[in-house]
Amino acid sequence: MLLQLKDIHTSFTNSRNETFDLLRGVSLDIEEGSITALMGGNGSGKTTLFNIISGFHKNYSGSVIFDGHNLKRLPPHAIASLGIGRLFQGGQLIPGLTLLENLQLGAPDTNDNRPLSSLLKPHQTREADLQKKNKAIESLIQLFGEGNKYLDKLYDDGSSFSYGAQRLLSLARLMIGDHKLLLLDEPTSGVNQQFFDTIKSIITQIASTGKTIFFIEHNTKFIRDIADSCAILSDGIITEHCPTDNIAWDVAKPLSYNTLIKQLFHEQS
Amino acid sequence: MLAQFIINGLIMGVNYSLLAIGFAIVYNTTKIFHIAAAGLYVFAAYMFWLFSVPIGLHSIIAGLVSVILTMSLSLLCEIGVYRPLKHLKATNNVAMIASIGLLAIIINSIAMLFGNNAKVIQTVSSESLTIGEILITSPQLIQVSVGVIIILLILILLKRSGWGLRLRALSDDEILFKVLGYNPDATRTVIFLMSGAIIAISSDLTAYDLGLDPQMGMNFLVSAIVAMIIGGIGKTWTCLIGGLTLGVLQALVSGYFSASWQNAVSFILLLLFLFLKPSGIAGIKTRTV
Ligand SMILES: Nc1ncnc2c1ncn2[C@@H]1O[C@H](COP(=O)(O)OP(=O)(O)O)[C@@H](O)[C@H]1O
Ligand SMILES: [Mg+2]
Repeated sequence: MLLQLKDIHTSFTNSRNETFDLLRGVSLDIEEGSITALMGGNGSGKTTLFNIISGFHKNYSGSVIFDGHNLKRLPPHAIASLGIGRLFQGGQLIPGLTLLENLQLGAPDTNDNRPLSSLLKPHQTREADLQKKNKAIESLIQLFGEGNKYLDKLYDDGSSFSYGAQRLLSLARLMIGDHKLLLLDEPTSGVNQQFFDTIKSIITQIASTGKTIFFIEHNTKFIRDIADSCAILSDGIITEHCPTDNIAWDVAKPLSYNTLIKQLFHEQS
Repeated sequence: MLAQFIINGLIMGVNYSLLAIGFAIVYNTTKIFHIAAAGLYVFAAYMFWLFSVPIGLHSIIAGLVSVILTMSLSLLCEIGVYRPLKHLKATNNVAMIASIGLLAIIINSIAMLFGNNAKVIQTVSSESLTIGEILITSPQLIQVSVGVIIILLILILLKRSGWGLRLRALSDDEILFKVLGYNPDATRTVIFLMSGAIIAISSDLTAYDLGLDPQMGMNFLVSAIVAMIIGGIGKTWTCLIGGLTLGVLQALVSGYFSASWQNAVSFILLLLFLFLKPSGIAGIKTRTV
């Protein structure tokens, strides 16, 4: 098992000083090499669960075991270095840095984190930087083809790309890194059809390199097309976790999202 | 006369820019309003004086010693005060108050050890260069040439080196920075060392020209912060624009009007920018996870 979530509880206090339990015992196993979708209504705590895994939300009980490490006491950057990559819900590229610099940051650091090593070994540092640049350009070619438009925009500011393009490019950045697990928070939300298909093919490509993918998604077609299994977060627990093939996807398209989830899993059980 | 004022202003402006950069790289990346920079500025000047006058080392060696000691003290502020506060989840306001405390400790220790009187480093009346109507003294010449070289070096380092990239990434988006696997604390170590060196160079250049006293730090820091704000917060090269603008305006006002209006110029300029061009101030974006 690559990732094990065991009995995770967390609560928040709102502005009126009322405490509410958001997660009330989430347990879930993610197998190595699998593609797992996480569904759940708005505000059900999906993003919070991702924040717990990637170390941004520390106030929880239960345990998160990744590749044999308990992540409880590790800061976000250390968790990322263990091999967990993440796509956020919101903006994606760092504004103020060029596209190339953004991608370069995604390449793993051969040169470790020691502050002075770049001053002491300038030659090696320059070599490593060059390698990162090449890797970034290679990945753009691999994902979008020879002579694609992004190759002409390597020196454009990260914020000059459209929202959809930023999502694609940050997926490219994740592909460069040597992560074992990718957490993708609603990869297709808010993008148009053309980007939707590209994102699907990128995720499939990334998965084919053996990376494990755990993603939050609302679009059932997208889930059906790419995921091996699907988990439902509802009322603070994982109510279902089963292979996507077992789910009766055809039922009731026009229903609201929450009803849809209930329907789908009712049919199946 | 006009040309002379502008030249004097530009030279002062280079110095403001340098100090502004030393302040800005800390502020942009850590969001700490690093008032203790004024203390580091005074510390650097006194170390420069100590090693060049009483101890009698060559000015260049004394300058280097002053830079290295100030880098160490700058890192000590981070490791001894700012970093523990950050790990305790203290707000930036708390960090600023701690910074004011650090300033008080540094200034009072220096006043206690060296007294409150002004000191000079350059005692012989300096040679000067005249081009037509314009007169430039040799300390001014050193100030502007060393200042410009250092500023260019910093800007190139920030633009071209891997550490420069990390520093810019950290100042633009700390959350993405962490999620990409970079350690903010390690980067901050480099930032405080760099900032200490820049502050010390700026201070040594001023002290060599104008002398030093324990209260010099705050005056210069206020000008540097104004330079940073009017240039545009969030970037480093903008400090140069702000510094030069402020230096020239101050020189013109004190030349044609009165030297006592010099600080008023800073504040008027600051207010004008805050009201008319606040985008410079709101340039910092934050991300929520
Ligand atoms: N830092 C926080 N402080 C207070 N409440 C929070 C915080 N983060 C999330 N919440 C609350 O937790 C709930 C779940 O949020 P989230 O995990 O983003 O849901 P989802 O991603 O499933 O839509 C929301 O109702 C939100 O108000
Ligand atoms: Mg969410």
